[in-house]
Amino acid sequence: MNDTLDHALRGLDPAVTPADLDTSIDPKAQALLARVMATDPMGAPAATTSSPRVLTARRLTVAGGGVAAGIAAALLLPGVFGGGSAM
Amino acid sequence: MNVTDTGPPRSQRFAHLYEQTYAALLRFVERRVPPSHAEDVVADVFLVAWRRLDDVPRAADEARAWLFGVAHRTLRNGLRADQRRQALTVRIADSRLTDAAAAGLDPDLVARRLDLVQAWRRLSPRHQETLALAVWDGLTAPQAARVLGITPVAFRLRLARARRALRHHADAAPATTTQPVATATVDSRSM
Repeated sequence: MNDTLDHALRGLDPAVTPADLDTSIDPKAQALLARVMATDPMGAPAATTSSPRVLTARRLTVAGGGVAAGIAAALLLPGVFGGGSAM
Repeated sequence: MNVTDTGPPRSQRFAHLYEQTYAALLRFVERRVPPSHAEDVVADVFLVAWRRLDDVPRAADEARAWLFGVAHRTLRNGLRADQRRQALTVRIADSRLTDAAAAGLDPDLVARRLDLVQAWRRLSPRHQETLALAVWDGLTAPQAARVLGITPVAFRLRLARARRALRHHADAAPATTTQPVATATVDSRSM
């Protein structure tokens, strides 16, 4: 059943480039290859992708760290926050 | 990576990778963006591969899947921020139906394909993406799962649901009848 569906779908593949394209003689492919290899592989670092989840975790870590530092400062240096004079 | 990595063996390895994967990668991208934009995306992906060649798997099939993963992220990064969490819409070749009708193919077959095109358009982008990876891009479940950043089990589950949804939409669609070739029309709304 899946085979029938897959077979029907394969007939509707929107890709227009032939699957058996000979890259070694295709001028566009060769031009792109030359263009890419002309760039310095050590140059600008390749774009790295950070997932939104990683970014969110990083922001939460920074915010949590800030709150923790504030609490620690309030406990250790009460004078800074106007405390410590009850005695 | 050290300086000796940039010598001829590195270039040869990249050229070999390029020859093995260029057509497959271009076809992968053409399924997701108009052909006029595909070359630019492919160039970006190969630039990443050139700079991170040490990260590219040696086996051809795995290298192809690795490149598809980079292309997938490149395409998603090109979407507006509010669209990034959605899956990519995958195109379908509706124009081939007019060619098929014009070529005198069996009208029933053309009608069935029309129904399938309409059913495809009712699929969620996530289901389109899942089916495209399995059927058109020819990836195994573990490879497709890596492209999407999910587990193979989750991919298989998603694929089963996508097939079920496509069948459901195709069955639910009113039966299409094809007109004589001269008047055959296809809904060619852009996706």
